[in-house]
This record gives sequence, structure tokens and C-alpha cells, in this order.
Amino acid sequence: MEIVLNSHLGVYEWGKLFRAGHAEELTIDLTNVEFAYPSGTVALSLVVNYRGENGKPTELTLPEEPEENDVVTYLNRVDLFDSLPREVRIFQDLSSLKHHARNPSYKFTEVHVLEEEGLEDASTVVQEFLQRHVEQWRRPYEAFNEVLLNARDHSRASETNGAEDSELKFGVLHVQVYENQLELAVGDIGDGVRKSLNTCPDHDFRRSTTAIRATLERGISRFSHMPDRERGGGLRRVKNAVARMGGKLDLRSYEGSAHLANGELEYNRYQNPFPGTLARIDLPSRDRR
Amino acid sequence: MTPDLPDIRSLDFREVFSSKILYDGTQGEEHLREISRFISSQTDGAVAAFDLRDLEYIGYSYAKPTIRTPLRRQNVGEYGDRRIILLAEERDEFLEGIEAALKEEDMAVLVADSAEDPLDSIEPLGHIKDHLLETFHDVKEAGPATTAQVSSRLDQSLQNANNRLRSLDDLGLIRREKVDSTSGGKEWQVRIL
Repeated sequence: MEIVLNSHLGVYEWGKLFRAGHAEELTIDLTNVEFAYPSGTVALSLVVNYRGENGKPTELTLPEEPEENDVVTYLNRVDLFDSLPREVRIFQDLSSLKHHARNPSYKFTEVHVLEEEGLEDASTVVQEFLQRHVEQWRRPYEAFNEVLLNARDHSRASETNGAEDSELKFGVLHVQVYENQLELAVGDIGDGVRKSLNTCPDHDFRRSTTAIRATLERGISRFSHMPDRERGGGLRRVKNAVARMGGKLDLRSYEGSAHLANGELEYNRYQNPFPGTLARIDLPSRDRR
Repeated sequence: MTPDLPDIRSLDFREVFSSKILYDGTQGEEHLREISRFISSQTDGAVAAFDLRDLEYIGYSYAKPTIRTPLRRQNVGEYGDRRIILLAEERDEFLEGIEAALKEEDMAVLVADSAEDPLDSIEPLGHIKDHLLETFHDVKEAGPATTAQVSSRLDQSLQNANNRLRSLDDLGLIRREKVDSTSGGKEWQVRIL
């Protein structure tokens, strides 16, 4: 099977990537891609890593002369190619990209596959960067960590998404920092907010939107019936921290979504379910130096 | 009057949990066992000081099982007359995660700069109403004081002063004990630690 990605590799390419994700053989054509966003690189990395874990090969088709292509050099700079599993085949020669100059507008970029050990690595990398460059680094760091912990705790690959190994757990993080802006996307192909909350006998959410609202506004968790388990409230805290910093938050999970901008929250419901959960955060950052 | 301080023992989070960055709630649930053992091993009436001074970060999710749960247990009497305080030189942003976790459940804790001379710097963190904060500061300034003395200093009725002091005691921010009154009988005496 072959899929051709559109010019903008972002959140709208998730459906295409995940529908094709179960094919025995898959070729992903990136030659038309003109812009890649963190939410798109997260989806691409998730799908090929997930396929790799299940022993399914993926071929990436890149433009001719990849070193001349802005998107390919960008994907290289964010270490996407290094984060891909062995099962991915790329026929173009990427050796000339290795020493490509960094784009000065980016102060920092990383893509991480969030397996157990990857979580701590990602957290350390982000902490060290923020501590060096961002005033009051603990606030954005907390937002990072809460979404990372959510990705780890809720990312067990869902049968809805064709999981063949129910123990397989990972999410993907892409973080990048510009001079005055910090962006991150964390995604997984787990059961999503609604299904996860409904594992608690106290909850019976019929819609993802109401489940997302309950998480962001009331801080409820799947452990609500176990008061001794001090869980929940993390995403509400992320929402509050992002609002206080004047940032934006997008949370999508299957047919529901929440969008925070200018301190206002909006919820939407979609006909076509989003295949997993994606959190995207944009924060203004002030350089220390 | 200079108050006598109880025995104060510290649990150094940086050293005991081998990390200067603590954010993971699952890890916090594991650390709670060590923390509970530490509190229970203190003598009754002692102060168990959670030393956070060498940490660079302590997050909201980690603070819930490691700070909020022990405080909840303290407030329902599970630890007898032992009291928990935090040691932290940095305040504000460093303590925001803990503060948020406590405020969610209308709880509070005392924070001091050091275990050597804690009363100089000690302040409550978390959910504390203005009139209770005013009363706390009066008790801190007066040292051991009776309800009548606090009532007089704050220009409040004895009933009001008593209610305020009981609320502070329920929050774990002061200690109250019945002592012999100079005029005969018993009266409540309050102090910070």
C-alpha cells in the first residue's frame, strides 16, 4: 500500500497515516510535503514505530536531492530519522544531511519515542534546556511533564487502532523552541480519554467531548473510585498553567477536542474519530539572556 | 517567651530518592512507603521535616502521594502527635506544584528554611483564609499563648479566637494542648511546633 502525504504534514494527516498503518507493506510518500508541524512528525513517528514494533516494514519516499529540500532537512534536524526503527527503509542517501547547518530560528528541537526509558530522557532534555533558556522554567516544565505522564499512563495501543500486542505502550513527543515560542506535541494511539476514564466504575461518559471537559475542568481521573490513589488533575493543571502563561492548548481524542486560547476553552465534536490522543501546546518563552 | 522546640528529624528527598527532579506520581506512590516509615519511626510529638532543599523541581503529580497523602494521614491522627513540615529555601515557583495539590483539598503545610531555627522563617503554604493567616502570625509572634491572650491581641471574642485556633489545629498548622491555668482549672495553650 502507498499513501501520499499532503503539502502540510500536520494534524489532518493523522487519519490517513493510521488507516494505512495496518497494511503489511506500506510506502509513505513525503515528496509533496512542504511544511511539517510537530503534530505531523508525531503521527509519522508513531505509525512507523508502531509498525516496527509489530515487525511490519515501512518505506519512506523522500524528494530527490533531500539535502536541498527544506522539509527533509527539517525532519533531519529534529532527529526524526534517527528516531525511526530499523524496519524503516529509506533509499535516498541521507549522509549529506548529517552535517547540515541548523536553522538559527530554532533554538532547540527534539523528537522522542516515549517508551519507559524514553520518558525520563525526554524529561531531562527538556528540563536542561528550559533551565538554561526560559525564565521561570518550572511552569513550562510542569506542563511538559504532565502531558508526558499522561502519554505514558494512557498510551497502551488500542484495539480500535489495530493493536496486536496489548502490552505495547508508547507515545511520541516532539518539542521545539524558537526565540520566543515553545511548541510541543505529544501523541499516542491508546484508547483515548473517554475509554480510559470509563475503566473507572464511577464514570460512564458517552461522548469524548464530555470526558475531555471533565478532565480539564474537574480534574477527574480513572482512579476516582480509589481515593487513596492520588491521581488525576494533571491535565487540568496543564490547562491552568498554559492559560496563565498566555499559551494555547489543543487536545484531541477520538471524536472530541478542546481548544484553549486567550484563556477561553472551546469544545468540539467530530464525525470522523481522531485515531488516538494528541496534545499540542504553544507557549511564549522569554529568553534569559 | 522563647518556645521549646520538639525533636526535629529530616528526610532528605534528594538523597533518599536519588534525584533532584521529582515529577512522576507513580514513583511518588512507591516513595510514600519510605516516607510513612520515616514519619512513624519518630517519637510522638516530634516534627518530621521533609527536606526539599537540594531538589531542583518537585511536581504536582509527585507531590500528591508524597506530601498530600502524609498530611491527610497526619490530620486524621494516623501519625499520633507527630507533625510534618517542609524545608525549602526557594518558595513561590518551586512550591507551586505542592501548593496546587494542597489547595485542591483545602489543606496546608508549614514551610521553613531550615530545621535548626525553623520558627524564624516558618510560613504556611496551601489553603489558608486571611483571618486564619492573621491568627497564625499572632501565634508565631507570641510563642506559646493561651486562647485568652490570642483573643486579646487580635481584639476578637474568646469564641472567635477559639474557633480560629481550632481551625488552624485542624489544618495541622499549630499545636493546641490543655495546660494548667494560673487562675486554676485548665486552659488551651497554642504554639507553632
